[in-house]
Amino acid sequence: MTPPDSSPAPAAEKDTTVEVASPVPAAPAAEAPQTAAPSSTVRIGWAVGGLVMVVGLAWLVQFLVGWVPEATDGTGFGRVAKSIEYPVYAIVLGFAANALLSSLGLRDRMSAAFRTEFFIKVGLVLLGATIDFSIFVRAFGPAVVQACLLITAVFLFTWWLAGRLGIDDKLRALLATSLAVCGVSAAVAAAGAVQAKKEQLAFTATLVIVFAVPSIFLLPWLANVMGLTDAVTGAWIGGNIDTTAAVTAAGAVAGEGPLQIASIVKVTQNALLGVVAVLLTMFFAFKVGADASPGTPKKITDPAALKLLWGRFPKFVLGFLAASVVATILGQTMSPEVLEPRLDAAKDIQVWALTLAFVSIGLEFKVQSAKEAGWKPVVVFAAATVVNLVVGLALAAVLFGGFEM
Amino acid sequence: MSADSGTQTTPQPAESSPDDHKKFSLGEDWAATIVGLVIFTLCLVGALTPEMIP
Repeated sequence: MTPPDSSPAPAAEKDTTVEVASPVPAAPAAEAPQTAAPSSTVRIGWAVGGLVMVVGLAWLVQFLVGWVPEATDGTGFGRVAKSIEYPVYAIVLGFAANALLSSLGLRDRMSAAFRTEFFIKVGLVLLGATIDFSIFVRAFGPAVVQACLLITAVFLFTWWLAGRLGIDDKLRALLATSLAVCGVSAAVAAAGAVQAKKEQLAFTATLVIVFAVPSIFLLPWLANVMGLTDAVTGAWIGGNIDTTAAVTAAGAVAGEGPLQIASIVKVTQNALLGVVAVLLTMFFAFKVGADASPGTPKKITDPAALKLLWGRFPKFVLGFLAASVVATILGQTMSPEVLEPRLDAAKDIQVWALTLAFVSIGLEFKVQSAKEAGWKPVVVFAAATVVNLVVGLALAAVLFGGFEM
Repeated sequence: MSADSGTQTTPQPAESSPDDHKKFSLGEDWAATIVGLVIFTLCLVGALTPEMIP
């Protein structure tokens, strides 16, 4: 039962394991039916247990958000408690539960239920319903310019630095794409494009999480210290933090306005992932030359390139846009007395979905993968993160400085 | 190369393409989109109300 691989990463490897598990060569035929059925039942049982754990922790988060400020009212901690947003409780509880489950040897068995990407995408679709489409339209232009400039600058810097340190080209591509575009999803797309090894993907995904978690708290705090406007704060958070879940968490910590702009900026970056994947695929195909697989696009106009572009396009962006458009149209045509409670319900479920995602961030993290990372990619990641912070802040200030919410 | 030798200490039983991931990830992407839109629709038609959500 125990998987031989000891270096799994958040979300990424779990999926790979699911895919790779089925073609394992058959053991003795007589044994197969006896071991397969109970194994699958047991797996489902553990996954259900994991889901109960995630939902239970999310419920505890909702409870603590209300209870802690009341219980500490009038004490020295009371003022601090009022300013603690739900992502903080969710991530802390996720890590605490991770430590507990790991010490009991249960974490890996339950991990099928820890689906950060799924929960965050459901939450983002619902978040779209809270964003007036006119804000999206006005923010889209600056968001595209920021995304293009930031992706190019961070990708080229990371590629260059990783090359200087002698890191393998495929790992360079994974590091550069995850840092420049959108974290784990980008690393997965890049891994497919350059045919990277599974462990390179696992390891990149771990680095993404290790660097993203402190950013969730650090960036809103720095934005507050620097007195940035909501729009600039959101654009800075959305452009800087790699993984979409962490962007949403940091935006929620910073406030409603920053969350809206951060999600628009991040969704724009997500949408550009397909372009990066196609360019990487073609670049590596040219490098590999005759060894490239027959379906690999050689030109941007190849039908294969367009197919890849659509294949890598994050579909949840369509849901995000659809929800925003529908809510905006209904806002013009329905009375607020009827519409508001309905949008409030969507907002409440959105907070639940995001809470489930933030709890899962902590639950998915694997210390083992971080230990196996090695120092060179960590140096690359740290340096590129600093470049991302500085360039991102400058771009956010220029492009969103005069943005009215 | 140096990065490989310096960073991957765990022997892998077999090299597998991470693109295997694509199938599952894309399925999850669509699933999340559909689930999100279904929930939104249920809220809009009044089938899910704020009172029902803990």
